[in-house]
Amino acid sequence: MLESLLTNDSRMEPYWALAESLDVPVAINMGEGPPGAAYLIPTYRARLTSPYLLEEVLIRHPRLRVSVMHYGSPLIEEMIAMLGAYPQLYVDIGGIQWNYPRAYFYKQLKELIDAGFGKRIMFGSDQMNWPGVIEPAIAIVDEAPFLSGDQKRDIFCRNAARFLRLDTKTCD
Amino acid sequence: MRCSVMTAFVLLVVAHVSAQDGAPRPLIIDMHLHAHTLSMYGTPPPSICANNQEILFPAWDPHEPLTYADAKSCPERLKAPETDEELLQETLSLLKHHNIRAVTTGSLDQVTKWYAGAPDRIIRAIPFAEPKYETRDPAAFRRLFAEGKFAVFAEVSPQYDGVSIADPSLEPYFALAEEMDIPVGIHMGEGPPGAAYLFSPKYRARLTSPFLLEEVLVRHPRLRVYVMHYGSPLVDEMLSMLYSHPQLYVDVAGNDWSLPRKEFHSHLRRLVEAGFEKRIMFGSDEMVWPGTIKVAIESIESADFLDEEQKRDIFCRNAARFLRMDVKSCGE
Repeated sequence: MLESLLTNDSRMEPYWALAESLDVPVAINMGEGPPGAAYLIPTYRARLTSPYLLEEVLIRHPRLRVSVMHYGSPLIEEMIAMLGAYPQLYVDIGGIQWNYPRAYFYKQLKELIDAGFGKRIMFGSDQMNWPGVIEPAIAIVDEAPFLSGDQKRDIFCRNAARFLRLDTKTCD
Repeated sequence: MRCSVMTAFVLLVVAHVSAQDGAPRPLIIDMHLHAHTLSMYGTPPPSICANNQEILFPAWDPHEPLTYADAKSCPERLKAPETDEELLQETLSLLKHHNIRAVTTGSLDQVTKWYAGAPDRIIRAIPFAEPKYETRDPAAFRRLFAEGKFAVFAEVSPQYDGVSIADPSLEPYFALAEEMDIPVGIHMGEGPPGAAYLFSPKYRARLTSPFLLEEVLVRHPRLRVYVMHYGSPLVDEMLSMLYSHPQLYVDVAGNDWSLPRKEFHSHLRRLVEAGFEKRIMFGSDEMVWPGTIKVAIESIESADFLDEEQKRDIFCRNAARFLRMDVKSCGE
Protein backbone atom coordinates (compact mmCIF):
# COMPACT_ATOMS: atom_id res chain seq x y z
CA MET A 1 0.00 0.00 0.00
CA LEU A 2 1.27 3.45 -0.85
CA GLU A 3 1.50 5.92 1.99
CA SER A 4 2.84 9.40 2.54
CA LEU A 5 6.12 9.77 4.39
CA LEU A 6 6.38 12.59 6.91
CA THR A 7 9.59 14.46 7.54
CA ASN A 8 9.45 13.35 11.16
CA ASP A 9 8.61 9.71 10.31
CA SER A 10 10.71 7.21 12.25
CA ARG A 11 11.81 5.58 8.98
CA MET A 12 13.67 8.82 8.16
CA GLU A 13 15.50 8.79 11.48
CA PRO A 14 18.62 6.78 10.45
CA TYR A 15 19.22 9.18 7.59
CA TRP A 16 18.98 12.27 9.80
CA ALA A 17 21.36 10.60 12.25
CA LEU A 18 23.81 9.79 9.44
CA ALA A 19 23.69 13.33 8.05
CA GLU A 20 24.32 14.74 11.51
CA SER A 21 27.23 12.42 12.30
CA LEU A 22 28.94 12.89 8.91
CA ASP A 23 28.08 16.61 8.82
CA VAL A 24 26.36 16.33 5.43
CA PRO A 25 24.10 19.31 4.70
CA VAL A 26 20.48 18.33 4.04
CA ALA A 27 18.01 20.17 1.83
CA ILE A 28 14.42 19.10 2.18
CA ASN A 29 11.42 19.85 -0.04
CA MET A 30 8.73 21.73 1.84
CA GLY A 31 6.52 23.61 -0.53
CA GLU A 32 4.10 23.18 -3.36
CA GLY A 33 4.38 20.31 -5.77
CA PRO A 34 2.90 20.82 -9.23
CA PRO A 35 -0.84 21.63 -9.37
CA GLY A 36 -2.80 18.37 -9.11
CA ALA A 37 0.27 16.60 -7.72
CA ALA A 38 -1.74 14.05 -5.73
CA TYR A 39 -3.31 12.81 -8.98
CA LEU A 40 0.10 12.39 -10.60
CA ILE A 41 2.04 11.21 -7.53
CA PRO A 42 -0.56 9.43 -5.36
CA THR A 43 1.28 9.86 -2.03
CA TYR A 44 1.81 13.63 -2.35
CA ARG A 45 -0.10 15.64 0.28
CA ALA A 46 -0.23 19.45 0.40
CA ARG A 47 -0.37 19.49 4.21
CA LEU A 48 3.00 17.75 4.52
CA THR A 49 4.50 21.09 3.51
CA SER A 50 4.15 22.31 7.11
CA PRO A 51 7.58 23.51 8.36
CA TYR A 52 6.50 22.43 11.85
CA LEU A 53 7.00 18.80 10.76
CA LEU A 54 10.70 19.51 10.89
CA GLU A 55 10.67 20.61 14.53
CA GLU A 56 11.27 17.29 16.30
CA VAL A 57 14.01 16.43 13.79
CA LEU A 58 15.86 19.62 14.77
CA ILE A 59 15.36 18.85 18.46
CA ARG A 60 16.72 15.31 18.09
CA HIS A 61 19.59 16.44 15.84
CA PRO A 62 20.72 19.90 16.93
CA ARG A 63 23.94 19.73 14.88
CA LEU A 64 22.22 18.94 11.62
CA ARG A 65 22.70 21.54 8.86
CA VAL A 66 19.32 21.87 7.17
CA SER A 67 17.84 24.02 4.44
CA VAL A 68 14.12 24.11 3.67
CA MET A 69 13.75 24.15 -0.11
CA HIS A 70 10.89 26.45 -1.27
CA TYR A 71 10.78 27.94 2.28
CA GLY A 72 7.65 25.95 3.17
CA SER A 73 5.72 28.04 0.62
CA PRO A 74 3.03 29.22 1.01
CA LEU A 75 3.18 28.71 4.81
CA ILE A 76 5.38 31.71 5.33
CA GLU A 77 4.25 32.36 8.91
CA GLU A 78 5.15 28.85 10.08
CA MET A 79 8.46 29.19 8.26
CA ILE A 80 9.22 32.45 10.06
CA ALA A 81 8.31 30.83 13.38
CA MET A 82 10.76 28.01 12.65
CA LEU A 83 13.55 30.34 11.43
CA GLY A 84 13.12 32.33 14.63
CA ALA A 85 13.16 29.35 16.95
CA TYR A 86 15.94 27.40 15.17
CA PRO A 87 18.85 29.69 14.35
CA GLN A 88 20.71 27.03 12.34
CA LEU A 89 17.92 26.73 9.76
CA TYR A 90 18.24 28.11 6.21
CA VAL A 91 15.75 28.30 3.33
CA ASP A 92 16.03 28.39 -0.44
CA ILE A 93 13.68 30.16 -2.83
CA GLY A 94 14.10 27.61 -5.61
CA GLY A 95 11.29 27.65 -8.13
CA ILE A 96 8.87 29.78 -6.16
CA GLN A 97 10.20 32.94 -7.84
CA TRP A 98 9.28 31.78 -11.35
CA ASN A 99 6.33 29.46 -10.59
CA TYR A 100 4.15 32.09 -8.97
CA PRO A 101 3.07 35.54 -10.15
CA ARG A 102 5.95 37.89 -9.34
CA ALA A 103 4.02 40.23 -7.00
CA TYR A 104 3.06 37.29 -4.83
CA PHE A 105 6.63 35.98 -4.59
CA TYR A 106 7.95 39.48 -3.80
CA LYS A 107 5.49 39.82 -0.93
CA GLN A 108 6.77 36.59 0.65
CA LEU A 109 10.43 37.40 0.07
CA LYS A 110 9.93 40.87 1.56
CA GLU A 111 8.28 39.33 4.59
CA LEU A 112 11.28 37.04 5.18
CA ILE A 113 13.61 40.03 4.80
CA ASP A 114 11.55 42.37 7.01
CA ALA A 115 11.42 39.66 9.65
CA GLY A 116 15.22 39.81 9.86
CA PHE A 117 16.19 36.66 7.97
CA GLY A 118 18.25 38.20 5.15
CA LYS A 119 21.25 36.07 6.18
CA ARG A 120 19.33 32.78 5.96
CA ILE A 121 17.83 32.92 2.43
CA MET A 122 19.61 31.16 -0.44
CA PHE A 123 19.11 31.41 -4.17
CA GLY A 124 17.97 28.36 -6.10
CA SER A 125 16.55 27.92 -9.58
CA ASP A 126 14.72 24.58 -9.22
CA GLN A 127 15.65 23.99 -12.86
CA MET A 128 14.34 20.60 -13.93
CA ASN A 129 13.91 20.08 -17.68
CA TRP A 130 13.63 23.71 -18.75
CA PRO A 131 17.02 25.47 -18.75
CA GLY A 132 15.23 28.63 -19.78
CA VAL A 133 14.00 29.18 -16.22
CA ILE A 134 17.49 29.89 -14.87
CA GLU A 135 17.74 33.39 -16.30
CA PRO A 136 14.31 34.54 -15.12
CA ALA A 137 15.01 32.94 -11.72
CA ILE A 138 18.06 35.23 -11.39
CA ALA A 139 16.40 38.33 -12.89
CA ILE A 140 13.40 38.16 -10.56
CA VAL A 141 15.63 38.38 -7.49
CA ASP A 142 17.87 40.99 -9.12
CA GLU A 143 14.88 43.21 -9.88
CA ALA A 144 13.25 43.01 -6.42
CA PRO A 145 12.82 46.72 -5.63
CA PHE A 146 13.04 46.26 -1.84
CA LEU A 147 16.43 44.46 -1.79
CA SER A 148 19.70 46.35 -1.35
CA GLY A 149 22.77 45.33 -3.35
CA ASP A 150 24.20 43.77 -0.22
CA GLN A 151 21.06 41.73 0.45
CA LYS A 152 21.12 40.45 -3.14
CA ARG A 153 24.74 39.32 -2.78
CA ASP A 154 23.79 37.53 0.46
CA ILE A 155 20.95 35.69 -1.28
CA PHE A 156 22.86 34.94 -4.50
CA CYS A 157 26.03 33.74 -2.86
CA ARG A 158 27.23 34.56 0.65
CA ASN A 159 24.50 32.78 2.59
CA ALA A 160 24.94 29.57 0.62
CA ALA A 161 28.73 29.78 0.91
CA ARG A 162 28.38 30.04 4.70
CA PHE A 163 25.84 27.19 4.82
CA LEU A 164 28.04 24.94 2.65
CA ARG A 165 31.24 26.05 4.46
CA LEU A 166 32.77 27.44 1.26
CA ASP A 167 34.99 30.50 1.44
CA THR A 168 32.57 33.46 1.38
CA LYS A 169 35.34 35.55 -0.26
CA THR A 170 34.59 33.68 -3.49
CA CYS A 171 31.30 35.60 -3.56
CA ASP A 172 32.72 39.13 -3.86
CA MET B 1 -12.75 47.32 44.98
CA ARG B 2 -13.45 48.46 41.48
CA CYS B 3 -14.52 51.89 42.77
CA SER B 4 -11.34 52.46 44.69
CA VAL B 5 -9.29 51.41 41.70
CA MET B 6 -11.14 53.95 39.58
CA THR B 7 -10.68 56.72 42.10
CA ALA B 8 -6.98 56.04 42.32
CA PHE B 9 -6.91 56.03 38.55
CA VAL B 10 -8.54 59.42 38.13
CA LEU B 11 -6.34 60.99 40.79
CA LEU B 12 -3.35 59.58 39.09
CA VAL B 13 -4.28 61.02 35.70
CA VAL B 14 -4.95 64.44 37.18
CA ALA B 15 -1.85 64.37 39.34
CA HIS B 16 0.54 63.35 36.63
CA VAL B 17 1.90 66.35 34.82
CA SER B 18 4.50 66.10 32.11
CA ALA B 19 7.53 68.26 32.60
CA GLN B 20 7.45 70.05 29.25
CA ASP B 21 4.04 71.58 28.70
CA GLY B 22 2.25 71.19 31.99
CA ALA B 23 -0.46 69.02 30.40
CA PRO B 24 -1.16 65.63 31.94
CA ARG B 25 0.43 62.77 30.04
CA PRO B 26 -2.39 60.43 29.03
CA LEU B 27 -2.55 57.12 30.81
CA ILE B 28 -0.99 54.01 29.25
CA ILE B 29 -2.02 50.53 30.38
CA ASP B 30 0.76 47.97 29.98
CA MET B 31 -0.85 44.52 29.87
CA HIS B 32 2.41 42.67 30.19
CA LEU B 33 5.15 43.77 32.57
CA HIS B 34 7.29 41.24 34.48
CA ALA B 35 8.26 41.39 38.13
CA HIS B 36 11.35 39.29 37.56
CA THR B 37 14.79 38.99 39.05
CA LEU B 38 18.10 39.20 37.20
CA SER B 39 19.17 35.66 38.08
CA MET B 40 16.22 34.23 36.12
CA TYR B 41 18.10 35.25 32.98
CA GLY B 42 21.61 34.08 33.87
CA THR B 43 24.36 35.77 35.83
CA PRO B 44 24.67 38.38 34.51
CA PRO B 45 21.69 38.45 32.12
CA PRO B 46 22.62 38.77 28.45
CA SER B 47 22.32 42.14 26.74
CA ILE B 48 19.56 42.35 24.15
CA CYS B 49 18.51 44.00 20.87
CA ALA B 50 15.58 46.42 20.63
CA ASN B 51 13.97 47.51 17.37
CA ASN B 52 14.85 51.21 17.46
CA GLN B 53 17.76 49.88 15.40
CA GLU B 54 18.22 47.21 12.76
CA ILE B 55 17.76 43.65 14.03
CA LEU B 56 19.03 40.59 12.16
CA PHE B 57 18.84 36.90 12.95
CA PRO B 58 22.22 35.66 11.74
CA ALA B 59 22.80 32.00 10.98
CA TRP B 60 24.20 29.81 13.71
CA ASP B 61 26.66 27.15 12.65
CA PRO B 62 25.43 24.18 14.69
CA HIS B 63 29.01 22.95 15.18
CA GLU B 64 29.75 26.05 17.26
CA PRO B 65 28.35 26.63 20.75
CA LEU B 66 25.14 28.69 20.69
CA THR B 67 24.75 31.83 22.77
CA TYR B 68 21.78 34.16 22.93
CA ALA B 69 23.90 36.95 21.46
CA ASP B 70 24.73 34.83 18.38
CA ALA B 71 21.10 34.29 17.55
CA LYS B 72 20.14 37.94 17.25
CA SER B 73 22.30 40.86 16.20
CA CYS B 74 22.07 44.66 16.27
CA PRO B 75 24.55 47.55 16.40
CA GLU B 76 24.06 48.35 20.09
CA ARG B 77 22.67 46.12 22.83
CA LEU B 78 20.63 47.08 25.90
CA LYS B 79 22.05 46.00 29.24
CA ALA B 80 20.22 44.89 32.38
CA PRO B 81 20.77 46.86 35.61
CA GLU B 82 23.28 45.52 38.15
CA THR B 83 20.92 44.63 40.99
CA ASP B 84 17.31 43.57 41.50
CA GLU B 85 16.69 46.70 43.55
CA GLU B 86 17.91 48.91 40.67
CA LEU B 87 15.68 46.97 38.30
CA LEU B 88 12.65 47.61 40.51
CA GLN B 89 13.38 51.29 41.14
CA GLU B 90 14.23 52.04 37.51
CA THR B 91 11.07 50.30 36.30
CA LEU B 92 8.81 52.08 38.80
CA SER B 93 10.32 55.40 37.87
CA LEU B 94 9.64 54.70 34.17
CA LEU B 95 6.03 53.77 34.98
CA LYS B 96 5.67 57.15 36.65
CA HIS B 97 7.46 59.02 33.88
CA HIS B 98 5.28 57.56 31.11
CA ASN B 99 2.14 57.49 33.30
CA ILE B 100 1.76 53.71 33.00
CA ARG B 101 -0.37 51.28 34.98
CA ALA B 102 0.94 47.78 34.42
CA VAL B 103 -0.45 44.28 34.70
CA THR B 104 2.65 42.89 36.39
CA THR B 105 3.35 39.18 36.29
CA GLY B 106 5.71 36.97 38.23
CA SER B 107 5.79 34.77 41.31
CA LEU B 108 3.39 35.80 44.08
CA ASP B 109 6.33 36.98 46.21
CA GLN B 110 7.73 39.20 43.50
CA VAL B 111 4.46 40.79 42.41
CA THR B 112 3.57 41.41 46.07
CA LYS B 113 6.91 43.16 46.52
CA TRP B 114 6.51 45.28 43.39
CA TYR B 115 2.94 46.17 44.32
CA ALA B 116 4.14 47.44 47.69
CA GLY B 117 6.52 49.77 45.82
CA ALA B 118 3.75 51.41 43.74
CA PRO B 119 0.20 50.20 44.53
CA ASP B 120 -1.29 52.83 42.21
CA ARG B 121 0.71 51.54 39.23
CA ILE B 122 1.01 47.76 39.65
CA ILE B 123 -1.90 45.42 38.86
CA ARG B 124 -0.89 42.06 40.27
CA ALA B 125 -0.88 38.99 38.00
CA ILE B 126 0.31 35.44 38.65
CA PRO B 127 0.23 32.48 36.30
CA PHE B 128 -1.38 29.16 37.04
CA ALA B 129 0.37 25.82 36.42
CA GLU B 130 3.81 27.38 36.10
CA PRO B 131 6.41 24.85 37.24
CA LYS B 132 9.13 27.49 37.50
CA TYR B 133 7.16 29.17 40.32
CA GLU B 134 5.43 27.39 43.18
CA THR B 135 2.58 25.15 42.06
CA ARG B 136 -0.88 25.70 43.54
CA ASP B 137 -4.14 23.86 43.26
CA PRO B 138 -7.26 25.73 42.14
CA ALA B 139 -8.52 26.06 45.73
CA ALA B 140 -5.38 27.96 46.72
CA PHE B 141 -5.78 30.35 43.78
CA ARG B 142 -9.42 30.82 44.73
CA ARG B 143 -8.42 31.92 48.24
CA LEU B 144 -5.69 34.24 47.01
CA PHE B 145 -8.06 35.89 44.56
CA ALA B 146 -10.78 36.27 47.19
CA GLU B 147 -8.18 37.92 49.47
CA GLY B 148 -7.35 40.39 46.69
CA LYS B 149 -3.77 39.16 46.28
CA PHE B 150 -3.92 39.18 42.50
CA ALA B 151 -6.28 40.42 39.76
CA VAL B 152 -5.18 38.62 36.58
CA PHE B 153 -3.91 35.15 35.68
CA ALA B 154 -0.79 35.82 33.58
CA GLU B 155 1.58 34.99 31.99
CA VAL B 156 0.20 31.51 31.48
CA SER B 157 2.86 29.89 29.30
CA PRO B 158 2.74 26.10 29.14
CA GLN B 159 4.42 26.38 25.72
CA TYR B 160 7.79 26.58 27.47
CA ASP B 161 7.10 23.21 29.08
CA GLY B 162 6.04 21.60 25.82
CA VAL B 163 2.40 21.57 26.93
CA SER B 164 -0.47 22.69 24.71
CA ILE B 165 -2.83 25.33 26.08
CA ALA B 166 -5.62 22.80 25.41
CA ASP B 167 -4.01 20.19 27.70
CA PRO B 168 -6.60 18.64 30.08
CA SER B 169 -4.35 19.41 33.08
CA LEU B 170 -5.16 23.13 32.66
CA GLU B 171 -8.90 22.61 32.60
CA PRO B 172 -9.57 23.17 36.36
CA TYR B 173 -7.78 26.52 36.19
CA PHE B 174 -9.76 27.73 33.21
CA ALA B 175 -12.95 26.64 34.98
CA LEU B 176 -11.91 28.64 38.05
CA ALA B 177 -11.04 31.71 35.98
CA GLU B 178 -14.41 31.55 34.26
CA GLU B 179 -16.31 31.07 37.50
CA MET B 180 -14.47 33.84 39.39
CA ASP B 181 -14.32 36.13 36.33
CA ILE B 182 -10.53 36.39 36.46
CA PRO B 183 -8.96 37.67 33.22
CA VAL B 184 -6.37 35.30 31.74
CA GLY B 185 -3.29 36.23 29.67
CA ILE B 186 -1.81 33.38 27.66
CA HIS B 187 1.60 33.33 26.05
CA MET B 188 1.33 32.47 22.37
CA GLY B 189 4.23 33.71 20.34
CA GLU B 190 7.94 33.50 19.78
CA GLY B 191 10.23 32.54 22.59
CA PRO B 192 13.83 33.73 22.33
CA PRO B 193 15.73 32.41 19.26
CA GLY B 194 17.10 28.97 20.00
CA ALA B 195 14.78 28.66 23.03
CA ALA B 196 14.74 24.85 22.99
CA TYR B 197 18.55 24.69 22.92
CA LEU B 198 19.33 27.55 25.28
CA PHE B 199 16.63 27.94 27.92
CA SER B 200 13.71 25.54 27.79
CA PRO B 201 14.41 22.09 26.31
CA LYS B 202 10.68 21.41 26.00
CA TYR B 203 9.80 24.68 24.25
CA ARG B 204 8.18 24.05 20.86
CA ALA B 205 7.51 26.67 18.19
CA ARG B 206 4.43 24.84 16.95
CA LEU B 207 2.62 25.27 20.29
CA THR B 208 2.22 28.95 19.42
CA SER B 209 -0.77 28.11 17.24
CA PRO B 210 -3.79 30.26 18.28
CA PHE B 211 -6.08 27.48 17.04
CA LEU B 212 -4.99 25.45 20.11
CA LEU B 213 -7.04 27.88 22.19
CA GLU B 214 -10.28 27.23 20.38
CA GLU B 215 -11.70 24.34 22.44
CA VAL B 216 -10.84 26.19 25.67
CA LEU B 217 -12.97 29.12 24.50
CA VAL B 218 -15.78 26.86 23.38
CA ARG B 219 -15.81 25.04 26.74
CA HIS B 220 -15.61 28.34 28.67
CA PRO B 221 -17.53 30.96 26.72
CA ARG B 222 -17.53 33.44 29.62
CA LEU B 223 -13.78 33.38 30.08
CA ARG B 224 -12.00 36.72 29.55
CA VAL B 225 -8.83 35.88 27.64
CA TYR B 226 -6.06 37.78 25.91
CA VAL B 227 -3.41 36.21 23.72
CA MET B 228 -0.08 37.71 24.69
CA HIS B 229 2.12 38.39 21.62
CA TYR B 230 -0.98 37.84 19.36
CA GLY B 231 0.20 34.35 18.41
CA SER B 232 3.07 35.92 16.46
CA PRO B 233 4.08 35.17 13.77
CA LEU B 234 0.85 33.27 13.04
CA VAL B 235 -1.22 36.36 12.22
CA ASP B 236 -3.50 34.44 9.84
CA GLU B 237 -4.59 32.06 12.61
CA MET B 238 -4.91 34.92 15.09
CA LEU B 239 -7.18 36.87 12.72
CA SER B 240 -9.32 33.80 12.30
CA MET B 241 -9.64 33.38 16.08
CA LEU B 242 -10.38 37.10 16.69
CA TYR B 243 -13.10 36.94 14.05
CA SER B 244 -14.69 33.73 15.35
CA HIS B 245 -14.40 34.50 19.08
CA PRO B 246 -15.49 38.10 19.66
CA GLN B 247 -14.51 38.09 23.35
CA LEU B 248 -10.84 37.52 22.53
CA TYR B 249 -8.22 40.27 22.91
CA VAL B 250 -4.50 40.33 22.09
CA ASP B 251 -1.49 42.21 23.37
CA VAL B 252 1.45 43.33 21.25
CA ALA B 253 3.96 42.97 24.06
CA GLY B 254 7.56 42.09 23.32
CA ASN B 255 6.93 42.06 19.59
CA ASP B 256 6.85 45.87 19.78
CA TRP B 257 10.55 45.99 20.68
CA SER B 258 12.03 42.57 19.90
CA LEU B 259 10.86 41.96 16.33
CA PRO B 260 12.36 44.06 13.55
CA ARG B 261 10.11 47.13 13.48
CA LYS B 262 9.04 46.63 9.86
CA GLU B 263 7.87 43.13 10.72
CA PHE B 264 6.04 44.29 13.84
CA HIS B 265 4.35 47.11 11.91
CA SER B 266 3.33 44.70 9.19
CA HIS B 267 1.67 42.45 11.80
CA LEU B 268 0.00 45.37 13.59
CA ARG B 269 -1.25 46.82 10.34
CA ARG B 270 -2.85 43.52 9.33
CA LEU B 271 -4.63 43.25 12.69
CA VAL B 272 -5.93 46.82 12.38
CA GLU B 273 -6.91 46.58 8.71
CA ALA B 274 -8.84 43.39 9.45
CA GLY B 275 -11.00 45.46 11.81
CA PHE B 276 -9.66 44.48 15.23
CA GLU B 277 -8.42 47.86 16.49
CA LYS B 278 -10.72 47.61 19.53
CA ARG B 279 -9.15 44.31 20.59
CA ILE B 280 -5.43 45.14 20.54
CA MET B 281 -3.74 46.12 23.80
CA PHE B 282 -0.36 47.64 24.48
CA GLY B 283 2.20 45.71 26.49
CA SER B 284 5.92 46.03 27.06
CA ASP B 285 6.91 42.49 28.07
CA GLU B 286 9.67 44.24 30.00
CA MET B 287 11.69 41.57 31.81
CA VAL B 288 15.04 42.84 33.11
CA TRP B 289 15.86 45.52 30.54
CA PRO B 290 13.86 48.63 31.50
CA GLY B 291 15.04 50.45 28.35
CA THR B 292 12.60 48.32 26.34
CA ILE B 293 9.58 50.22 27.71
CA LYS B 294 10.40 53.40 25.81
CA VAL B 295 11.11 51.47 22.60
CA ALA B 296 7.80 49.60 22.92
CA ILE B 297 5.89 52.90 23.24
CA GLU B 298 7.79 54.39 20.27
CA SER B 299 6.86 51.37 18.14
CA ILE B 300 3.17 52.25 18.48
CA GLU B 301 3.73 56.03 18.24
CA SER B 302 5.74 55.63 15.03
CA ALA B 303 3.13 53.46 13.25
CA ASP B 304 2.14 55.90 10.49
CA PHE B 305 -0.91 53.81 9.53
CA LEU B 306 -2.55 54.43 12.93
CA ASP B 307 -4.54 57.58 13.69
CA GLU B 308 -4.55 59.17 17.16
CA GLU B 309 -7.83 57.49 18.13
CA GLN B 310 -6.47 54.07 17.26
CA LYS B 311 -3.31 54.75 19.25
CA ARG B 312 -5.36 55.73 22.31
CA ASP B 313 -7.43 52.56 21.91
CA ILE B 314 -4.27 50.45 21.86
CA PHE B 315 -2.47 52.35 24.62
CA CYS B 316 -5.36 52.50 27.05
CA ARG B 317 -9.05 52.18 26.17
CA ASN B 318 -9.03 48.57 24.98
CA ALA B 319 -7.23 47.38 28.10
CA ALA B 320 -9.50 49.47 30.35
CA ARG B 321 -12.54 47.83 28.73
CA PHE B 322 -11.00 44.36 28.96
CA LEU B 323 -10.08 44.84 32.64
CA ARG B 324 -13.50 46.45 33.40
CA MET B 325 -11.96 49.71 34.48
CA ASP B 326 -13.54 53.05 33.72
CA VAL B 327 -12.53 53.91 30.16
CA LYS B 328 -12.69 57.60 31.18
CA SER B 329 -9.58 56.99 33.24
CA CYS B 330 -7.75 56.87 29.93
CA GLY B 331 -7.94 60.62 30.10
CA GLU B 332 -10.26 61.61 27.26
